[in-house]
Amino acid sequence: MHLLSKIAGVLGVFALVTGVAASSMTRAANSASDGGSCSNVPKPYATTEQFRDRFEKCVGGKTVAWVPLGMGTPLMAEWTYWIRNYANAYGMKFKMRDPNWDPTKQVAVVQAFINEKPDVLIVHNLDTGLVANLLKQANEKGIFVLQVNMESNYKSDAFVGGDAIGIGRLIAQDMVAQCGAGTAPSHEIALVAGDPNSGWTQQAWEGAGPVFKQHPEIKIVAHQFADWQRSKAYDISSTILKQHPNLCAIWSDWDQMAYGAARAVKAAGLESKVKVFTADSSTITCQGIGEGVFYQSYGYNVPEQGRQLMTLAAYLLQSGKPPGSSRTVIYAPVVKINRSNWNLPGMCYDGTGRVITVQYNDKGEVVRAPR
Amino acid sequence: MEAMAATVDATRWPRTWVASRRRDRWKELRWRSSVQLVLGELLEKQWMEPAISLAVLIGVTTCFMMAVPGMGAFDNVISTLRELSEFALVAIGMAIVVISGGIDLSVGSMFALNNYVALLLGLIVGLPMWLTTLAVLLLGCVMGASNGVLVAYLKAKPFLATMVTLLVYRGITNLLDEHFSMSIAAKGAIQDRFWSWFGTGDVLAVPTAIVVLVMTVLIGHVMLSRSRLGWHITAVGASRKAARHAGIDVERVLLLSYVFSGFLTAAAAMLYAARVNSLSPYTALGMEFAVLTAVVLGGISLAGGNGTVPRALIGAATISILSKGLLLMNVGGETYTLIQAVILLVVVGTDIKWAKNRAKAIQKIYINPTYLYFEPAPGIAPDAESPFAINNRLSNSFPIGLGVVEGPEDVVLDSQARLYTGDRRGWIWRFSGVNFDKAEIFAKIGGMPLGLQWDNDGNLVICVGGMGLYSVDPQGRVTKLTDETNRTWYRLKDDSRLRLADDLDIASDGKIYFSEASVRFEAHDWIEDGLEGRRNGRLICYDPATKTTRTVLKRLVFPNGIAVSHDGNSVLIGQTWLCRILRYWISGPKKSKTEVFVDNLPGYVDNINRASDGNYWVALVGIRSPAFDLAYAHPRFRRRMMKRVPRDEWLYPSMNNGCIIKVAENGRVLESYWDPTGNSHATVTSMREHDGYLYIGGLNNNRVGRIELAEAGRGYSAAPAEPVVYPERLEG
Repeated sequence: MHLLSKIAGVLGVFALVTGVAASSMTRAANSASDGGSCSNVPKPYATTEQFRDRFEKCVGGKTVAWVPLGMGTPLMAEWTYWIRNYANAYGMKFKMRDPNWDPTKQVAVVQAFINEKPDVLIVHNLDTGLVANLLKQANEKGIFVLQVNMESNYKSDAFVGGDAIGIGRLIAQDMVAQCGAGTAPSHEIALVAGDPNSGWTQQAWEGAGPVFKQHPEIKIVAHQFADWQRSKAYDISSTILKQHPNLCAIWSDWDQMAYGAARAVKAAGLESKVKVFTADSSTITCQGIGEGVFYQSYGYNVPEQGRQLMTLAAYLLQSGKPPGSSRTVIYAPVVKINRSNWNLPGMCYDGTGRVITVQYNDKGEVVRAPR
Repeated sequence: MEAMAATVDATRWPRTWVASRRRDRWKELRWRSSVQLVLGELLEKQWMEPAISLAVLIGVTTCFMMAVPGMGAFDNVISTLRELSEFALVAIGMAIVVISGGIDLSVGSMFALNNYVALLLGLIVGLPMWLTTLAVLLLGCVMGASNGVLVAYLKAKPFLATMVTLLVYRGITNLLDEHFSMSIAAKGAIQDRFWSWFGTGDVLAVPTAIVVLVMTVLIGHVMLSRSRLGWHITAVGASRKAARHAGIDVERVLLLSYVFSGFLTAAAAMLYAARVNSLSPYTALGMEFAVLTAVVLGGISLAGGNGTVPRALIGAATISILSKGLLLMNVGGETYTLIQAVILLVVVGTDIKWAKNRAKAIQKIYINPTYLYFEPAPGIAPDAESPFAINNRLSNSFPIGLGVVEGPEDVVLDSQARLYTGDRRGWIWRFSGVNFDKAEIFAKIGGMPLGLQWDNDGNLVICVGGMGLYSVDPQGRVTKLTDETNRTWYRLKDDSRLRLADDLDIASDGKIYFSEASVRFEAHDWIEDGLEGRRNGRLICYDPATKTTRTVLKRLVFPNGIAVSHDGNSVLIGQTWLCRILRYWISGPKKSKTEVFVDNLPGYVDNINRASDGNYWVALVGIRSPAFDLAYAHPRFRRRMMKRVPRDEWLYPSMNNGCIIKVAENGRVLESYWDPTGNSHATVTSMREHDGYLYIGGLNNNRVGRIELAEAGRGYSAAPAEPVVYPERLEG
């Protein structure tokens, strides 16, 4: 043990020395990049060259770090595609690390990014509390923090997302229309939501809850959480369907997960009776509606969100404002996708970035979620 | 040539070697050190297992430091350490359970539930931080205790029991989540000074989590390696049955080890809750897998009974750095799981192989023959013109203790002509009465009693192989004189403990000179030292006045018999495998010098004693054979033999018919005593002259022999000059 402890001691000292040296080096490098401060906003009649130079100085060469929930679905792939490509187009450095749906890892990844001090940090929050303190830290450390689709308790520089409250309200109204008073024969509905800790699930319920309250005839027979997992949604839905074969509709927060619920409905042979409501517009939505297992979905133009994130990043870097000093929200326009429009070109994205998505309703209108 | 020979150190340059000494010197040097020797002793080391793990840790750390930019940045090191703290606490808990012979698969679920409850109490109930901590730690203990009760008292298999509780604890977490998550989420994060200090704060610039970890490692290490409970845990893990037989309350120990696991997991979850503030019921999903990998990677055997807290820390650090490094490199989650699985597979496989074959591997490479050169042995043929010519002077010796003693290596008589001898069962016999027909066990020491000698106070001082130097007073009370000497700082093998104290004599100043035949082989493996022929032994001196032990001469080839010379100025040292006797001067003008007393004897030297006529008795335990003499000059041959031939067919130094010789003060051999029949004295390891008789001992014999000496030796005794008053009177 003596020898061991000596070795450990030597190593510890070694690690410390290298650590300190490396950190001072990174710090020096960081301060060098901070040297070209963009706090001076150009004069209104500045030359185009000055404008171009400023873009190169403030945006080009900066680093954008992206933390999704977990790769492997078109949603994250589509965002990643646009963030990466716009970063390239702007001359920015792109970094991504995948926490693979693991909360511990998401914390570790965000922490690691903060340590490395990128210029822009984009986070898809696993839940509202998870990295709230870290995002605050990031802002304080001079990193612009953007959040996408799932909000944190800490409101950072910008949030780009589907309007979960509005979409929740829309879906609830649609469900009431299909299963509420005046419809026959059942008023039973089931909710197979995502994750109660996530911003989306909470906000969707915030929008939907009051609607259902106004319609006491609607009977919510189950309100469970499938944690965004298709297989879990399948299992929960199967059980619900066995207990409530007269179910009128199932609401499942996200198309990837909802497809599990839809398969369960189909497996129970109830696809003509039980309507599956969901949100998002990846290819599975169009496929599900085409197959008749989805009743409808609300799309919120995910590819557009990717571009909006990068537009905001470029804006913030040039704005002259320090990180954490402004709060911007961009809600994507929403469109109802159902049997009437699911096969229009560009309705559903596939995660490759190749579908030019123009989402519009059956009247060709881009719509706004009700406030 | 003669002049040169006189100037060189006699221990290295025996007279008979002069002609070929330059060649021999090189060969001897060439064979003195060997990589295999170091490797063999290295593998034996207790710290070798964590050393391998530590090497893996260093390797992984270095690789990632080089491969991942920013890995070694100060901020990143700090946040990695914070994450490590939580993981390592759980790993230490798991390690304790694994060392106790169990496994705790429920750590991940316990972690999740504790984390959930901590946030629930902090947010919904609004308990103060300290109360929350207390409640969570208590909950951890309760959950651990449930595991423990299942395993220890309801005798469930640990694997199944903790797998069930894994599901139960996870299920409870999910239920809590469904019930509370909406309301907790509405409350937001805990904005408490103490919570954030616990999660992300420092103690004197050291992150709180690290402080907690360091304290846990220190306390845990002392507990596991120094405390009674720790020893019990290891004992139960090594062999539950043996532990029960030793009187350990096995059930209690098992229960406690699971409670430790629960407690440490709760502590880790508390740190996590404060740092991360996440209510996800999927917290720590699959954590047991990573923790188990860490524990095994740290070199803690899944078979139980082997492991320490620092090893768990090493394993945890390796996994932490691995996972952090891969995360920073953005190696996808599934790939990471795969890598971890492969590591677990390799490590568990190696663990099994290593545990199974380590002893065998050590055995295979441990014995390291070296080069020894012998001149042709003097003739021993019955008709030879040589003092060694075989006769039958021992054949008709009078048997003492026939069938009573087993292996009397040495004999000694007291002033009342009572005979004392050791026995391989660890006893000291005393024979008295007419014809020594009264046998009694004088003392029971244990070990392998070898050399015997009286000190000036009438105590019997004994070299006990496997134990050390002991003293027995006239009442038969046993006292340990010494069992350790100063350690050689550069040796891998710890040579401070006495392994094979062999023979002793006491100088006029009361100092006890004794030989330790080998520091590399245990007492029962002494013959393997003969295959090696290395300088593994030493002469040690114990000073009863100061009660200190120090090594006088190092690096002697199997020093065996020890006798102080008649004038008291030197000590004779019999070197068994070299067939040589050295003289080491302890006083006089040549003090501290060593020279060869007699060399190239026809047999392997054992004990040496003074004779009544001013000469010395020397026992030759076995007679050299030309074949083995040749083998001694060919270490490669002996190594090959040990590799290719089964152990019982190896060539050993022959321990066959020995003899007793008498050597004059000038080193000339005068005469010899033989038993060519082998019936009375197949091996001769010692002899003692007393009152006109010679008493003969033999390590493998079933008796002590006695012959009458032709020369006048009446009245001579090796016993102390002042007769001691013994409690018993001599009978007959």
